[in-house]
Amino acid sequence: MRSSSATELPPPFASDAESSRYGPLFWMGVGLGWTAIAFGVWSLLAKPGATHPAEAAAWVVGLALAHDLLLAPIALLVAWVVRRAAPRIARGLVLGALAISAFVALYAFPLVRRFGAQPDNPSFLPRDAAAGLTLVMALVWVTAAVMLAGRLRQTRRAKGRKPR
Amino acid sequence: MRATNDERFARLAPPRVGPFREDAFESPLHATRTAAWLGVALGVCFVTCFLTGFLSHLIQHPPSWFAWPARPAGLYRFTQGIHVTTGIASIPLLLAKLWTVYPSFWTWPPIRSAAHTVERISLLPLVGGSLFLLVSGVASISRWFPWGFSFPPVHYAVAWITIGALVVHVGAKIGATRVALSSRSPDLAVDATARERGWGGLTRRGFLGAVAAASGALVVTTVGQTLRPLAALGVLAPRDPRVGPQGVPVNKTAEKAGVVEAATDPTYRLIVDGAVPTPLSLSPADLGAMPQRAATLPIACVDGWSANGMWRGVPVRDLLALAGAPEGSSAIVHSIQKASAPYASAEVSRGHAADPDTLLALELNGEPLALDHGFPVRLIGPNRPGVLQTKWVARLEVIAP
Repeated sequence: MRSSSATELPPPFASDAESSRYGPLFWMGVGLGWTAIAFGVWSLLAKPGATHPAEAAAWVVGLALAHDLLLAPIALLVAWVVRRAAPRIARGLVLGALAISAFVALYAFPLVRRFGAQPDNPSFLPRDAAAGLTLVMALVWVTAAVMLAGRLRQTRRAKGRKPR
Repeated sequence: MRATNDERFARLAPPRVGPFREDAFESPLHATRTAAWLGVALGVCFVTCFLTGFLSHLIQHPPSWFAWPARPAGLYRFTQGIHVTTGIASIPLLLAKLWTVYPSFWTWPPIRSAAHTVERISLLPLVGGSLFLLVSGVASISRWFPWGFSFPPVHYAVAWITIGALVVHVGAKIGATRVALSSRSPDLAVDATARERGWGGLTRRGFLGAVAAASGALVVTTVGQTLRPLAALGVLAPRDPRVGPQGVPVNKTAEKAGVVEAATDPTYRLIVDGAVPTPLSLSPADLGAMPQRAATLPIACVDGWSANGMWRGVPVRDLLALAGAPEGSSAIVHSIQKASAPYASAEVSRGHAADPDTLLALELNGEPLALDHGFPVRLIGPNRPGVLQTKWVARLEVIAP
């Protein structure tokens, strides 16, 4: 018999409350960590001609906001759509393959667009990164398809056994 | 009785709508245990990246207490390859980690105590800094600079900010992480309960598998730019160590450096001066007439690629001896580039000046140096970052020991 509580998900980060008491270790980390942060900020401010502190700060804060308010919600939306649109047996595989594709594509973006290419230096980006990205994606989705075929066969076999 | 902070916040009519709803994030992937595994992996990568990056900084801007040895010859190629590779491998880890803990961004009440406030404030430099390091690092190896600042000092400063924020974060989370990774973790039942509720998405294990596969794929398709046996697999690497003039990649071309005319000028002379009794002025032919030495040494770029070449030329220590420099001298090599250009000069420390393989090279792989490799004369030494292997050398300024 299962207890009724087992059918409910524990709230996210349930173990935070019980175990992350803010002890002396935390405050030691705060002291040490903020010393390093202060050194980093000082390094930024010490050579403003090279570092453009305001622009650098805008990038750091901007990227955090871009992730939290743009990238993460888009990922949530895509996952939500896939969970409702894809057949149950394929959902996990599609989501996994989508995640891998997104990670690899984000890395490859500036290479595929060849932002840094110079006509006088053919030794930079000697390969077509778009072809490389396509190849990696193809491998990812073929793998997902093979895994899906394996799952389908497994369920068909399980169903076939049932009537006996 | 005094109200607790939680009760005070509860009275503020909390906006329990949208992402603030307690059940807004139903995926089992937001479990603490998943965050803990990703956090440990990311922590290992970031600390490795920080240490190898700091080392590279010390080598390029050596403080008085730091001396970088000339041997082993391939050490820098190794540490910088590790730096760039762990950075690339961190991309899926970081994004997956942020996804896993994303519900905490919407936590209500937003702050609970002084300690909780300090912890949350420290998350901005952690999240923004981590994203900046990976984005700027990838952009830089892609030679894409969509900003006005100089990349190295900003990457360096933000690395300190990020590692500091990481120390704060580890101090705040080490207890929760230990519990989450133990057999006592309540999250162990998360997948099972999610399945019971009809959850049809990724399981925690499937998610971690996908993240590991993505990191692995990125490593395998890029590490060939420094690990020659895997060069053929480097379909997403910015460089191929086999491709370039004379079979070696080039970072800055002669045209880009604006030295084509000066480097091909027949009146070109290499000057050896500074703290020496007999300054020298040598034409390329004079250099070629001196005893030559060959050495197989890597060009190891800060961008994470490296390639071996067979270099041939005059050992720096022979030139120092010819000019009468005392034992233990060091030197500064100056390029014919404008002195204000980045890396137009580089220090050759005592250890490097004494090493017989530190050459002013005239040839690469059996041919006169290509213009883009530093014709007519370039510095090449063991265990040096590529930016310190000065090309188009015009002057060797000797510094007394």
